[in-house]
Amino acid sequence: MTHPTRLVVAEDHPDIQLVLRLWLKREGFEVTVASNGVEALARVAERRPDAVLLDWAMPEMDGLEACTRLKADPATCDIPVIFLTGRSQSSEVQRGLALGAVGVIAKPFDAFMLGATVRELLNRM
Amino acid sequence: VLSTPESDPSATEDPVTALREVRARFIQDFPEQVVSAGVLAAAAADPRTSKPLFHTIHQIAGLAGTVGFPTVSKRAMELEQLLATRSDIIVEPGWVQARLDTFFPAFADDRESPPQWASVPAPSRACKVLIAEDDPIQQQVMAAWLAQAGYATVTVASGDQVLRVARLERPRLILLDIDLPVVDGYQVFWDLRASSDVAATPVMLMSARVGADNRLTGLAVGADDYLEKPLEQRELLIRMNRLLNPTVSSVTRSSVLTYDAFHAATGDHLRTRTAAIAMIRLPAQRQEDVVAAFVGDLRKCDFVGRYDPDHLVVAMPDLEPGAACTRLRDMIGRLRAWAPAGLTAGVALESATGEHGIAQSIADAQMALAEARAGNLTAAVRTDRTPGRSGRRPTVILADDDLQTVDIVAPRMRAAGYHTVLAFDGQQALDAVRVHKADLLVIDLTMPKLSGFDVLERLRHSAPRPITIVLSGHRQSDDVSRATMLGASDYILKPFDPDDLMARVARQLGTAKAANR
Repeated sequence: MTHPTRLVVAEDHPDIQLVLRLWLKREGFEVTVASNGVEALARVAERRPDAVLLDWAMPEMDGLEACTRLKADPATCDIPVIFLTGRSQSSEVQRGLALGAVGVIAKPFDAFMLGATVRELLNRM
Repeated sequence: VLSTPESDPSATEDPVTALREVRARFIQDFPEQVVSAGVLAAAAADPRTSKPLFHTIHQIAGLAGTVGFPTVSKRAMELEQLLATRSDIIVEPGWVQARLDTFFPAFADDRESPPQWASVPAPSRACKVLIAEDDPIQQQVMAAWLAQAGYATVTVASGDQVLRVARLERPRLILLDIDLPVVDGYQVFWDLRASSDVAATPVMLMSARVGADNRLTGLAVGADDYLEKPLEQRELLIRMNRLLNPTVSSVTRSSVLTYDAFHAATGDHLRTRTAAIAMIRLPAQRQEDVVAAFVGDLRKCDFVGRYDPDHLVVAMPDLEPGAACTRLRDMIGRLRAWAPAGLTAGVALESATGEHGIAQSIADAQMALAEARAGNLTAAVRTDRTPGRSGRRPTVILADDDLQTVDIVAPRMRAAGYHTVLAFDGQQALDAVRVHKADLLVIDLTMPKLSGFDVLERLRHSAPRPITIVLSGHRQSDDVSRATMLGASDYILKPFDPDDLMARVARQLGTAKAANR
């Protein structure tokens, strides 16, 4: 058996963070939460995850900035990044993908489909 | 010890409960959120560029949608979009507030129709089965049967939920009722197969629509099995077990059986098919290495058994002896690179089932093996086969698309000792005659793809040609004379007497035997 897929999930809203954590955990992921980009980078540095989920808009450091930093660091540039965003305009999605993200999960997301969507995005690689 | 939800942290660890709690908090906090958005809008010199305002609206949009307030979420997204893109909006005091005010009726509407979040149990380590059944009684009964047998079950009652729950729960098997509300079982089945993450999950269709037509439709669309209702507990469990443990029905794959097991498996699998039977002589040295390499090179559908310490016996379904011989020669050629000399094969054809048939084929294969060894060949084949030869049962093709007729006739044919092959359209009939070197063909005139007349026409100049009996509802004398001209030996009108048919088949085969003498 391989170890469960480890995720660092960055989301500033406490309730959305709770929903993300419990529903991803339920799907068999091992989840570490962060409330902004700075915390997310710290969690990644502590223990390398298999993938990072970043909310687009967060205080202190937003998802775009966090993703840029992850991709700029040779130690973390190969960790898949998934954005969570309500800004589903194609230009925003393209910007995220251009930064090296493997995909974008649209907000509002369906909690029941969350695990399947994350898995599908990660399998696509 | 009873614990209150507040003191029990695990209460919020249940994802569905947590979702409900988050929804409750959203309902409580929502008015305040909207008011604070209004304050931010009023305070901003230009709401189009106010980051805190954007963020608040953005969060409402995201959270509202996830906790079952789709209309609120939509309104919030629209406002966000307008603020971001419409630079022509004349920013006047109250414009944003007016938009925010529309959130409240939407909020009231959404609140009236809360989402039906089923409190699905957490994934269990037991083998999980998804039951899609709308009748609550049947659903409960099935769930109880499966739980008793040690399965974990998840149930849904309408077609539109199946795909979502399947993707979420990842069941090992899906029991799918055809007559489901909202989306019917067939559509659900196609959706499942089109969804890459669950496409491989076996699906067993269930329906109160009985009869071969429905059953065949279910299997034809690609379902792994089809069960007629009312269900029977043992049958359901046995069929599920077959789908969940395919190795049980294919123990032969890449494993060497004892001779008895080989005999049983072959007899069972070759009831309606032919196979090449090969006797393989093993070299004196490194026998187990040779066996492992040889067996690994066989097709998945082949059976292999240990005949005695120095011989393997192999059944290769649907292969002509010549083709089987070529294949074995190639396999042995590859093994020769490292295996000790002495690996040799003799091949015969098995077309009849039962004790006598396979014993005869093995004897033939042994003779071929002896010939191969005498002639210093890798493999030899023995194919001489004449109808009516001792030990051979006549091969009869029953070609009729009317399943009722097939249901009546096929068991009688088999009981009478004929090797019986079924064909459901003209093309299948033609193929079956050629592949199985049929002695006799019972054929309906009206069939899909090729009519009975077409088949007779094409068989007219082929040799050897099977004796043909037409079984048809066509009463016109034209049809009768046309069939006779095309070589039919007998013409039986439907509705027919099965005993009469059997007597005529026996007569025709007996006549042929006498003529061959």
